[in-house]
Amino acid sequence: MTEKDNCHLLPILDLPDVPLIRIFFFLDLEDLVLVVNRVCQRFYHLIKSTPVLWRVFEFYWPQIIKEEDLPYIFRHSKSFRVFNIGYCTYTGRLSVLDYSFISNLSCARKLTWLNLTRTSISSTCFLQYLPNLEILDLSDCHNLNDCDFHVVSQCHKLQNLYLSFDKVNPKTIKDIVSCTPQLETLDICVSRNAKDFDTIEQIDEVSSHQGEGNVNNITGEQNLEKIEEQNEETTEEQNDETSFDTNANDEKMRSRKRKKQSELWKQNLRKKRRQSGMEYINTRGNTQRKREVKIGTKDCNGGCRFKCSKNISETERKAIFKTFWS
Amino acid sequence: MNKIVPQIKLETYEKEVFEIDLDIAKKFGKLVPVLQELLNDDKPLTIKTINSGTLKKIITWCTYHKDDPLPPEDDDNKMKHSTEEVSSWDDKFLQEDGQAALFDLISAAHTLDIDGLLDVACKVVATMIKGKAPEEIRKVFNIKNDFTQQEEDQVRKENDWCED
Repeated sequence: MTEKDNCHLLPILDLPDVPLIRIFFFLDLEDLVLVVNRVCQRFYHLIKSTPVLWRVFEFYWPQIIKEEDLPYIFRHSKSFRVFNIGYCTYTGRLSVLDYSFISNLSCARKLTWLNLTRTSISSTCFLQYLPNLEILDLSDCHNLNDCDFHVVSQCHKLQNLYLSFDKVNPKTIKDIVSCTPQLETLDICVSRNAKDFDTIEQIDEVSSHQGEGNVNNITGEQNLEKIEEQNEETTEEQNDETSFDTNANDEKMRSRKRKKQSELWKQNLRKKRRQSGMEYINTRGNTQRKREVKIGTKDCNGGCRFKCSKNISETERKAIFKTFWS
Repeated sequence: MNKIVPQIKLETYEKEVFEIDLDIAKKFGKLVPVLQELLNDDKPLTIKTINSGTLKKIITWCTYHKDDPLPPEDDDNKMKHSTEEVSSWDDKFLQEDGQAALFDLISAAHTLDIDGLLDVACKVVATMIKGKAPEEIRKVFNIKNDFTQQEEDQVRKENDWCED
């Protein structure tokens, strides 16, 4: 242990790496990458070279991803626990995207949550290397076909699975379900192209069920919502309590299943609260405070030429705030 | 002094000797392997990197949190990096002596390996960083911008994909 002369004054930069990383660990990747990165060289290199900080790869807003960004995104793919690029727009060559996914995510063996909603990937073969995956969202991935979805059956620990229906063969779904004993939710968005079935909505399943015949076993024993494959529509009509139209083109669809109540989904409740400026709890469980007019935070001291604090009075500020968030 | 409670002795940077109850010393991860030795030994253990003020604070913190249950050693639990869980007592206690003392405390908690204290102190610092612009962070922590223009552009380019 070395003696320090300035023992009483210890600026943040004198901290060893380990506690500093620990501080960063409590920040979201978005903060780290956009803000802390730019503070000084030490922070930048520390964030860049510490895989553990990249475990939760997730952003609040969908991003635009360019081809040259891929190496940075996947730099620490080995330590990914959560990888969420749902709704992100990709502008480069598709082959490069696929290659990046295959070569990088194949090593991300600790990945538990993968969200690729509405991305343009055209292959999912990396899924076979992700044995610990628990949540997988592949909905609206229009470049995927049935073979790609079949790979999902190799993720044996899957608990929640989201797919788009029009591309998935029912047999594939059966296979997936029989290979994933812990599956709790299977959400299959019905797309307009769905022709083979009338409706498929949701499977909730109990982990104790295993092996083949899984899908059919549940009906008798468990009081749960389960897979509805209504190829024979006639038998279903008597049980029907909730019928609904999935689309506008006069095609009536009937189902035993309860109706999708998307406005009650946690995700959507959260979104609603966020967008109306109310307090909400985000996906990580952090409480985000409600939006309010902050006093004394913006005073054009920095010489900003717009001089907002002079030109806009406090009452006007409040009025703008009110109209924006209500 | 109460002789019934077994105590160990630590000497700080200022050569001040502290007597610490065994129950509290058990929280110092670094000392756990040598505790028995220290109990038998009458000579204090000198830790030159820690000053008296910091050690006093550490003892106060450990006494306050003496009866806390041990945090689960769950890897998944660590993934939920929330900064919301700092109790108001901790928050006030850690911030009352200013930034330098807080970093002293973090450094000392790291040296002595006091996981709980390190955890809350780091959370407090993380809260200070959250929601600020790079320039504001530099101001708050008195950090000099040591990027050249070229390097700054490079950093910006690397993170282009998550720009608004």
